[in-house]
Amino acid sequence: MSSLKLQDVRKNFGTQTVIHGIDLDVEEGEFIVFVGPSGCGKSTMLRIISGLDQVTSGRIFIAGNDVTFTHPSKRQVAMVFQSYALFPHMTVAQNIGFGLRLAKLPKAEIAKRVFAAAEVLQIEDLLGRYPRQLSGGQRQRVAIGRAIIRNPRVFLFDEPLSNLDAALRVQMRLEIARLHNRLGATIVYVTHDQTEAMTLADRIVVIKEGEIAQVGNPLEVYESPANKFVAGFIGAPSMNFLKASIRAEGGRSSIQLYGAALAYLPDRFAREYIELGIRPEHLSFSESSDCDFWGVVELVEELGSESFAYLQTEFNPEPVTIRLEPNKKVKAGDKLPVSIDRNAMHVFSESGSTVAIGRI
Amino acid sequence: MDRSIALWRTVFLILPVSVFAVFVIWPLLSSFYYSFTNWNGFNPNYDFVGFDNFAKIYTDRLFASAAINTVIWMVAAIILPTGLGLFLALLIDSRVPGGTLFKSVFYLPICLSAVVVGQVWVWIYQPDWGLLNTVLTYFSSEKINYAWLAKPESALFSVIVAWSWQQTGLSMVIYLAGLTAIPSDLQEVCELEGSSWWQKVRLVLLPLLAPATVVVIALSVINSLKGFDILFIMTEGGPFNSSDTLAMHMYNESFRKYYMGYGSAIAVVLFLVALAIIWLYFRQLRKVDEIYS
Amino acid sequence: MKSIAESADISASARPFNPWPGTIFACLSVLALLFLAPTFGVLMSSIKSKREIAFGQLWTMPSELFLGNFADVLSNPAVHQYLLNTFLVTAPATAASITLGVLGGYVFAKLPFKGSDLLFLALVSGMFFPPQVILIPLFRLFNSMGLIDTLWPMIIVHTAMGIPICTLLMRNFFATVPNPLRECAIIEGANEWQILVLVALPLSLPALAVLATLQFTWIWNDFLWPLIFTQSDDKRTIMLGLVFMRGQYSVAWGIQGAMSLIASLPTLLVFLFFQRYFIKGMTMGAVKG
Ligand SMILES: Nc1ncnc2c1ncn2[C@@H]1O[C@H](COP(=O)(O)OP(=O)(O)O)[C@@H](O)[C@H]1O
Ligand SMILES: [Mg+2]
Repeated sequence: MSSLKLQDVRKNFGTQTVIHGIDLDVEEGEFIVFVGPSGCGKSTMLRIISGLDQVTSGRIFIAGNDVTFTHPSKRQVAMVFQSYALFPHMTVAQNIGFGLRLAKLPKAEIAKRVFAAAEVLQIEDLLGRYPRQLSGGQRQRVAIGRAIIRNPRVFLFDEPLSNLDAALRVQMRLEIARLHNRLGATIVYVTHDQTEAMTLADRIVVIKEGEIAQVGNPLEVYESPANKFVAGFIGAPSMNFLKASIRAEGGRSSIQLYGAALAYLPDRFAREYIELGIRPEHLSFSESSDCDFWGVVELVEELGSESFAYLQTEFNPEPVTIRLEPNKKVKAGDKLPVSIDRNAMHVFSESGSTVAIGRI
Repeated sequence: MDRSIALWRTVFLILPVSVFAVFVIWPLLSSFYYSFTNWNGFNPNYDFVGFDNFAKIYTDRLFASAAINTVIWMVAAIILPTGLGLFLALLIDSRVPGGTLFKSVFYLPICLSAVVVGQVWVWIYQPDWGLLNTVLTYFSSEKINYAWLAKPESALFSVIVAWSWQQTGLSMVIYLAGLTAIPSDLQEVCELEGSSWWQKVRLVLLPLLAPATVVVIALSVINSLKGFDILFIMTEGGPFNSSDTLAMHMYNESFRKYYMGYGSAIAVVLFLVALAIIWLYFRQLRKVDEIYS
Repeated sequence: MKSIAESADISASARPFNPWPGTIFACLSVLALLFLAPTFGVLMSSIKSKREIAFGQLWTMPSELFLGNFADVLSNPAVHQYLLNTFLVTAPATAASITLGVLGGYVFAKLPFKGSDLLFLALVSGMFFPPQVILIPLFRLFNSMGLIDTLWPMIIVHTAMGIPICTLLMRNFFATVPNPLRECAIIEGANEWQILVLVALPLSLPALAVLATLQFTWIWNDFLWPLIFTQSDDKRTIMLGLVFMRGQYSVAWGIQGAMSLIASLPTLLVFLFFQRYFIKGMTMGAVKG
């Protein structure tokens, strides 16, 4: 039985349609990440699932029950807000136990369960403090604690790490992954950061302007993006897009990059122009001048573990990003031959949909 | 550079500071001075009488009743406009249709003068054809013509109700400003956790509105100390001084009986009371600030 | 439990009915009517004839529109004098208090010095004290200057008493004007006066609007100072005039209603047209005070 099911969910704000019909099935215990650029409707989706916003049309099921019009508190969901949404006038313990207090549970029972939740998150020592006395990471944990104690069927996280600094973000990311393993709970997690999505998700849901662009596990989404949008959004630095043309040659079509035939498409291809997508790691400098194109190094980015170079080419207005092999030293101004890994090319039609991937 | 800034400072401050000093600070200090004299308002000469005026305060029955009335007024000021203003703000903040219009309606009395408000309410309380008695008669078996403002038991309270009618809008907008400042996700947490409206108000909104409450209460109390005009219009402190307040008593002693020295002593007492309230207010505000920032 | 396919067919009209917005709306409407009743009653009385009122119909809807009360009030030369006096006090006092507030507020926001916080606090605290505490010395002062029974004491006192709120609001507003703007102007060779007039003031129009509406309303509506400082009828302001004319028209309720309305009209108009500024000023003054 699916833990969460969305059926043709649509949402309008006034005349503006923000969610254009989303269908999704989430398995029990699955970690689902919604990823997409800012403003694409991720938060709106979470708010609809939680019940804070109502759908315009469509249905929502949690554990098989239709909860489309159920009050948020009765949906068995818990939400962790981007801002943490901790009550400034309550201690950590009071914040975590807020829901139990509303339900008028006995004080001793509340204290016991609050402590248990705090133990999971290792914040037992902070129970007496106020939110203003906590660091960002600690506040985050308290917010998660308030979610855990509800024992929900589905956890909802709205960009929970975006207010933390880089180092803390990595650490909390790890902890959320650990928490998921430990609780085995269903999690719907929203982020605009594709790294977070790749590292945490069982399945990634890439959203573009209120529509699902692709659903799949991280590798699928990375290796076989359904369209140019997904290809460009997932992966950092992002995929290079090179304009190319098609020439018909007998029964088949050849891809022409800057006048040279690069590869052949299996059958006759009715388009004149396509776009070629190549990830930086699938470009390399050739040893000889036998290459696909020449590029002039504009800038080198040394990140320590890996390095990237940005190349100017004669056929592409945007610089082309290439990952340097270890020990490869280049400097700005070098004019170097570049070859493309034929096994990892993505071909997109002009409209952006994927035409072919890999060995062509 | 520094010298030119100092020069500009002086140029800019000289007018506001000197006007304020001459027409507010100096008179304030002079009030202390006159409170030790027996000046009668006309005679250029007067004598120093030491603490006589303050001793008179002790024995002045009217002062005692005016002080009690002032305290009653203050307590009512804490309860009526604050409570009603909070209630209205909570209702309006729940995104009802026409919220802006409601806001304007409740706020409207603020722009009316105390004279007009007083007169309107004199009509409402009028025994024979006043609105209040008309409505009460409608619900009762006999004709009611109770003279609200002419009976010592009801005069003060009737004026306070009229005054609260005007003040409520002010409390309401301050509470509304406070409610807007509460992050909406805190309210959403309440919804997610299944809190009832009353639980949300009691456990979350009221504590978070503490700063607004401090401001509203301080403002109501201070304004109740200033409450003079509306009283002057509606009862002039009567009947039999039953609705006298300290501000009214001060006016009567100084400008009706021309005991300006004694009036100054009452003014000094008023000043000290106001000072104490302001001090309390700032202390409370700082305490609240510490918790919520 | 229903199967998923089955329940998905339920139309969106299955949305549960929420009774709260309706209840709250009804509750607010009743309260709003109660709140409006007094004002509305006066409005109604002002367009009723004496005869109608004499029949005990003060709080009912008028049977016909009767403008005689307004004609009576507006043709009374004393009313003209009251309105003129009020205007002659309100306009200069409003302008002067705002000007002084601008000057002071600029220094406290942009040119602070050692002890300026204390001075600021002293100025602002003037807002809280009942006017009774300075009544007698001011009466004596203006008496000795021979200004009693002229409009001058009112203009001066309203200017002085307006300094706290004007300084407070202007300082808070000027504090939001970015410092780099001022520094940039200094580099361009502007002096502080030029910065104030050419940079800070043009940015402060909303704050000036807030203050103008507040001060105008308060000064127009004031009752205590004219009561103390005027004696003869031709120096009275409209609020004082209202009280004295009440005696003259003691049972002419319709005329009293029309008078109240005419006296309140300027502030009502300010309220209707500049309500947002007015409310903002009231809350800012109160909250930040
Ligand atoms: N309450 C609202 N009223 C109108 N428009 C809204 C509202 N909430 C969100 N939107 C719009 O819906 C779109 C999606 O918003 P959101 O879900 O917050 O995006 P994100 O993916 O960044 O979380 C945005 O264009 C936003 O402007
Ligand atoms: Mg968002």
